[in-house]
Amino acid sequence: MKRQGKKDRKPPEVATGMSVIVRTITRLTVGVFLLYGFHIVTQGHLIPGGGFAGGVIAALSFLNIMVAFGSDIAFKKLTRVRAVCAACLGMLLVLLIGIAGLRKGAYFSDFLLGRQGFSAVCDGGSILLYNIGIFVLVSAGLCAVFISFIASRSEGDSE
Amino acid sequence: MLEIYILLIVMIVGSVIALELKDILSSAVIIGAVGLCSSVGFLFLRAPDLAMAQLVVEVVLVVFLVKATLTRKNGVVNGGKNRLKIMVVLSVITAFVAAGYYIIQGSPIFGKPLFRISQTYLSEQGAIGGVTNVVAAVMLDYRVLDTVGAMIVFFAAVIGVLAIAENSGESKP
Repeated sequence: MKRQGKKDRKPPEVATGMSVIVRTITRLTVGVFLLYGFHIVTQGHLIPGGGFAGGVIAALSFLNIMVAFGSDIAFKKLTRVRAVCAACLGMLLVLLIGIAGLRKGAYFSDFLLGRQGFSAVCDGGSILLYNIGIFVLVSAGLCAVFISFIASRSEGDSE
Repeated sequence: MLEIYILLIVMIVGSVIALELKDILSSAVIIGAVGLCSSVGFLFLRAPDLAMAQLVVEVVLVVFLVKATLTRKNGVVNGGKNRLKIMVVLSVITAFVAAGYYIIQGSPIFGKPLFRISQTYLSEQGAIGGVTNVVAAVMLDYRVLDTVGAMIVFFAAVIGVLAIAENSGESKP
């Protein structure tokens, strides 16, 4: 990308993104970020980490795309409505997991006890499910907050 | 404990620098350094879960968020200094430090809590098996209602931020 003159680029790096070096590095590393977030979530009962840290890392990978490629490209992938819907889905998931064990008398506690031994990832019981729900809620909620901040920022710039 | 004291001194110096800088992005970077110090401090205090959350939120998220949402208009802060304000802040800080010193003198020694209930969790943890992260076992099994409450607060905060942002966008001419 050619470097534009100072007068041409009206909102600084909002819609256009950053230079080609940053774009290339971002294209290479965003997948690794996301994979690391998934790893922290799915191994949250074995290693330090958990749903919150993994969700923030996943949201950061989206924010990385937003900063490097500009908000126009990033908003095509994920709109505000989709992000809010995903956050609501995560909240519902957490609450549903909580009341899923109601028939076994396990209201908001581990209803999958006694099913260990299948594999190391599944040994967490409902801890893994809670981590996944929290991951969806936190990542989508933070993405929605980023999107609304950036939208209000570009509105402020256009005045 | 020497490492903790060094980290605390670095954090205090960094916070003062972040307060005094006029550029918000530079302040955010310094705050990231302070957060990194507190994350390393959590590692020294054997709390790797907290260290990871601190690292992710304060080091990366704050800098990225400020970088992504900063406009040219609000990038520089120039606030006047009021003498009365400084006096009030200094007296409050002095009272806080004095009260904190008085309280810390009477608190139990670090690492030896008064409550024995954590020992029960740690011993029952062996019975669950397969869950090697004790913090996850406590947060998402014994105390999962607390975690669900925290997630409800987070969800409400997200919805509130969205509502405020949308309203402020609409009210503009």
